[in-house]
Amino acid sequence: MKHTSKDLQKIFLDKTSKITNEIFSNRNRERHLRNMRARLHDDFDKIWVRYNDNKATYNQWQQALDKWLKVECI
Amino acid sequence: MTFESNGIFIRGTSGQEKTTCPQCSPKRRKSYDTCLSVNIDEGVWNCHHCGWKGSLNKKPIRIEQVLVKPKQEIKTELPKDIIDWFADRGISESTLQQEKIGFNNSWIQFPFYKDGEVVNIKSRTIAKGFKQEKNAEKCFYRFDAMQGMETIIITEGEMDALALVESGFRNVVSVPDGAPAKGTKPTDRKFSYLISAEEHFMNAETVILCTDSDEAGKNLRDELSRRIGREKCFRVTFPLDCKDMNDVLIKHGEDRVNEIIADAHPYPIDGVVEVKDVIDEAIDLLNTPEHLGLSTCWNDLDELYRVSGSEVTVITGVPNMGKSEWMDALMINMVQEYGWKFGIFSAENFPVKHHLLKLVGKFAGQPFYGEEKMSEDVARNSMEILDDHIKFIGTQENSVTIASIMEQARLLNYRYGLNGLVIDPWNTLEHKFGDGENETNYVSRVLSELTAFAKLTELHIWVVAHPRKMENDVNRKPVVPSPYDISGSANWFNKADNAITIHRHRSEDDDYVGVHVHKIRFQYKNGKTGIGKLNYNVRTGKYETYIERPTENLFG
Repeated sequence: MKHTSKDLQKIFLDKTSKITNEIFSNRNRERHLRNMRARLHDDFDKIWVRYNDNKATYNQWQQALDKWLKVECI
Repeated sequence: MTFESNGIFIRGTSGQEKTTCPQCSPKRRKSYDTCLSVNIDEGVWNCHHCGWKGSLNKKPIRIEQVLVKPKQEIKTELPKDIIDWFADRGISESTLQQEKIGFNNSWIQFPFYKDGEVVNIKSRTIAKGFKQEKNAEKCFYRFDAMQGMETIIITEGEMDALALVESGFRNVVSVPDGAPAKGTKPTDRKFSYLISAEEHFMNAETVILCTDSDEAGKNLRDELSRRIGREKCFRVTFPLDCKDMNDVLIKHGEDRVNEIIADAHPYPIDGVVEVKDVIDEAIDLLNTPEHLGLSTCWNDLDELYRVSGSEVTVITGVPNMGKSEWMDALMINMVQEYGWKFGIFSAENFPVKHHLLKLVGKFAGQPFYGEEKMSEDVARNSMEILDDHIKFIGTQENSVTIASIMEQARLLNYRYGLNGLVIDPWNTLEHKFGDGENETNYVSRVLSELTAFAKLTELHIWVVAHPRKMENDVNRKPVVPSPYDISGSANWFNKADNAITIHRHRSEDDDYVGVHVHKIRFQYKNGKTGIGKLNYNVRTGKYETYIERPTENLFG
């Protein structure tokens, strides 16, 4: 992880660990929500890559992660 | 705590009231503008200009990020090699001194002045390394230069702005972050610097966009013009061997820079489109022949109706047949699949909290009532996501007109970059006929305004309108109305780009929602006329793929 003092991997793992197996297995499997999850996951991946290239800020990274995880909990 | 102790002065004792905002009004040019909405009964307030909101029960909260002003001083004594570097780019030492360009430890510093104060410093190295102050305010470079100007010139970078200053222009500003990279979405955060400049752009008569001639520059130009309003935007054409204004100054000199600004030509909006204005777009279309509108996310409708920007769709249907429900479901589909943002005027669903729960039910695919209703966590998560995508409009005024809706949508588009606008239903608007204007002329005029608004802002506008009266068939069941049956005039059919009727077909053998597509203007990309079938899930409020009931007993 370059150009940053923040341990993004740790923050990422801390946040994702809050999605327990129970939440994960009770997620709504409706098609549009699944597509939205995939899209937001994809957006988050892109932002992380852009962050590593110094083209996105930590705030953007965090917002993208939070948005994706919120949909994962529905 | 009282309203007065928060600096809010109101005249009434109950209800809703609009007044000036103690936070932003004194600093605004339109200091008399009543931008603060106060609900006296509930003790809450919200400023539509600066976003200041709060309540009497708790401390007022400002949702804006805390902004930090740069502490370091700008050292304007530049080393000779830096002055030479600027000189190679056509920028003289006097311009550098005038613009207070600084230098500190191999970083060239561009101070961002706003109201006479340095609010941000953008630094770059000669080798194109860039950095900005942490948590500093995002505003235009040379912000103060556009105050009170009738014409504002916007460039993509500080060097281009300096090139114009060198050529004698004063009314020049630059966007703070350059152009968004190709393929990235134009987020609100990226364009947050527009908010503080809103008033200047409103007052300006002409805005000349001098972005780079590459793909990213064109994207930036299109997005800026979309948000500022294309009616006042002009664009420039660079010589073939130049990609930006600084290139022009280096290769062709100040006179050519002046010629380019003088030759700036308007966006094609006044009904006159020159071929050269649309060559690039037409070639793009030619190269992507499969360029279709977006799917409604119901596969069965893909052949009949697809959604494209800059269009108006009229939806009608017999009351209680699910027009608004279908519209809400379509909106949620677009949010989930494409991340679209909507402005909604939905008078029949007030209060907003009730409408919001209906939308959340569709979003989460779970009911919001009954024994199986969704949990609070699911509802909160859904609402927080919908907050980014849905803005309710026309909720505070006693009389809502089509003009006030378009104005609010325009401001929302400016701030958040909307994709769609929903007006549901047409008959709850207050219609103000002109002198000697009958309903037919009025509908024709307003639909023309809506269509022009959709084209200027690239929004897709859905208008839900009731038919004038219901007719029954021989079985005493309501006949499917067409857009010609909408109260008002045949202009509903003639002027809209797309026209759809939603009708619930109930019989002993079958029960489905018919999506009757009566008109599609651009059939090569948006579908064709016909009837699509969907099933309505009463529990979740969602529409699902239609499965025909078997006509015979398959199990013998």
